[in-house]
Amino acid sequence: MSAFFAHSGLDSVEGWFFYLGAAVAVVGALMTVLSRSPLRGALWLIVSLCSVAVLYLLLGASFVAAMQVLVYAGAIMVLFIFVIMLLNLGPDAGVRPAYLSVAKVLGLGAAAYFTFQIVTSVSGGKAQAVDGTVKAVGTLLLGNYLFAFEAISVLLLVAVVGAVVLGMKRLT
Amino acid sequence: MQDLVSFLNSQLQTVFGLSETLFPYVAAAMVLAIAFGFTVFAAVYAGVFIFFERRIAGRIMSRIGPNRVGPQGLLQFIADAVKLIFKEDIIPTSADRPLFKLAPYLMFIGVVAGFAVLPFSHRVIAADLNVGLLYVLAITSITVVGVLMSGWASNSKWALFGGMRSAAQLVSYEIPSGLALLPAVLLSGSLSTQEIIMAQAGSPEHALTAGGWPWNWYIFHSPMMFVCFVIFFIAQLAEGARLPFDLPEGESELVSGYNTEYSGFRFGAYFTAEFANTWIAGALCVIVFFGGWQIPGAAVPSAEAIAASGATWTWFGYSIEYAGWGAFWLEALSFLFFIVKMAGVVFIIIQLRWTVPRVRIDQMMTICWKYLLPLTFACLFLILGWMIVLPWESTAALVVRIVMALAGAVLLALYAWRVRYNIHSAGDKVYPHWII
Amino acid sequence: MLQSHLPLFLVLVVALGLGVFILVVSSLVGPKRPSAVKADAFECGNPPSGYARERFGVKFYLVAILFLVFDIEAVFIYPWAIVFSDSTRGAGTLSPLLVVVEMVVFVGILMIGLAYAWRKGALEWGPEHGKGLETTTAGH
Repeated sequence: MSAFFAHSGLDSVEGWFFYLGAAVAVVGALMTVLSRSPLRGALWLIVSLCSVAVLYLLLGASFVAAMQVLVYAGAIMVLFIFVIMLLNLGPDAGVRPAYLSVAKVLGLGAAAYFTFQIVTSVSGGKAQAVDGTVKAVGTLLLGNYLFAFEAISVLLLVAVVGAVVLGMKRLT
Repeated sequence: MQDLVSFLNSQLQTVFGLSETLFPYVAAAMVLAIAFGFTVFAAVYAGVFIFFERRIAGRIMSRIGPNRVGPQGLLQFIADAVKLIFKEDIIPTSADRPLFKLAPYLMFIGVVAGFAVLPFSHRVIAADLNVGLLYVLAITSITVVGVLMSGWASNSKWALFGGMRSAAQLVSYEIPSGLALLPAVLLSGSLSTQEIIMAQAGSPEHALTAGGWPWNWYIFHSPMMFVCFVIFFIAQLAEGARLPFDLPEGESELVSGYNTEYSGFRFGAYFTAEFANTWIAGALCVIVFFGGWQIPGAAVPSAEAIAASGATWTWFGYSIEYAGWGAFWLEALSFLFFIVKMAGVVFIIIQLRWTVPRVRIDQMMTICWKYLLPLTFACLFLILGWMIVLPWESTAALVVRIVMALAGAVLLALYAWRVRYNIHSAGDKVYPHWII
Repeated sequence: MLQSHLPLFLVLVVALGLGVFILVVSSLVGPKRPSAVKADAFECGNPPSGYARERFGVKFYLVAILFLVFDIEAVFIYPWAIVFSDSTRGAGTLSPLLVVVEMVVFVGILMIGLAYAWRKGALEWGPEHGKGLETTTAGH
């Protein structure tokens, strides 16, 4: 029994926090896709993303955890909700049944594939805490991953231009 | 917080002979008590803030304000809270019930959780995170979701318009308020609130260059830094939906905005959150721009010295033992310094509410995106140049800071004189004549 | 690791607990006299007309996208600030000039985006700018 606790990480407070965070993340993700109302789904997604932030904290990646909350829960969710309001997606905003069955097949297939990948790739060892401080992240970004870093700004530029072109289209 | 707990533990051991095996339990109880204390502090602060706001509003409008409940009306907020608790909790039939009920919690938690990384003194802080500043920005951004949720769940036109406007305003001003804090990060090289405060110090050898003096505050580092403070202050007014940015609940156009349908203590939770938010705004100003809790002339012991034990504070030639009761009183004094600076910032926030009109939504967006944002970037790059030309430790930089501090003092004196002039020209004789 | 973050969780839990406690007390002592009129959405005294959740203006979406872009930019600028601060003290592995140039390029590209949105009128919220857009603005 004690071997089980040690192996599963339940012998430490961190372990308990991990399982709590992981469980909430999974439940939140399930509720996101199972909610009838798009807005409720969006809010369940926040729950899921915030519990992933807790998992990052447990790994020692405090910067990524803060970013997770700031960008996903704070910014992307606001965008989602604005889009829901823009498209006026009520709880009864259905999709065509034909699309729905295709989506079900694709979704279940993808879920099965990822589950298989995760189960076969788990090595059994505990994840090592990383140096996730702001300094470590910054040094990597501006050193090793400089090209990706600068490419992000181009990506963001494209996002702005695309949104403005789509959003500012005038009636002719 | 661990420092504080271990300090209290050692005191308990020496004074009451507490056995060492009990330490973890005492520590756990204390951590819980302190967390509770922080939460209650946020709520009580909001109440006291409301009292001062109403009294100052009274003074500005040449009337008296609440003065019946308790001495000078100080207990009015308790009466208000009790009244709200005894009110009926009405949920509209057309509302989305779970979301409607949940939204006030998000607002309340989002603001109260921000208190956890705001230090009151060297050891009184719930959690000194190495990403403290980002944590405050992140956790307070949760309130945007609360606002949108309440607006949508109410299923009322006023609430929905208010919620959408409010969200647009809150997210827009998050950008300048986040970027205006950046120069302090550049100067201190840290995101931890405590390290930013302690970096606002000169050489610890001399009492006149050690921490806490106005010429060590980041606001007086350079003219651009002063501009950054103004940007941050304006952005925080908008983040807290304070006038001139109270569009989300503009009473004359949106009834009450996103909280129109709320009643009883759910309504109270929104206002507790809104008023507690002024603490976060003020505390961030003080931490980042006004030297935080530092006492003029007192050199904080280094982290290495504290870890090695036997560390001391140095204050005008006196050595005060870090682990002793002398340091306790010193920290109480630093808390006082913090509160006084806070009160100054919060007073201006209150005064602005009763002296400026509300801006329109297009003006609000223009101020943010067309003025504050480009200005912040300009300041940022100018400060970079300034840092390279005039490093913090150089004598020239110290001279510039002293000149800036003197200019700041002149500005403050002009402001005080102007306020006094206005009070006198109104022919006001409300007692007490010189306060509130 | 956990020790330094535990107070955060505790503050969150205590704040939630306090909120729940006050609302439970309120529901116990508060009156419960519901009526159909009281539970209507407020519409200046009139019976509420129609459904409140109308379509909203595309302007809000534009602001959200701009916010997202600059928020992500802020996310990257914070680690940069720490690295720059270290490099000026000679502590980091990168030279200060290189770090500054990297950020000038990054911010410069984003400024092009802001200038474009500005020029195209995406930042205008005045009444005269709402006309002719495909969707109506909030509140008409």
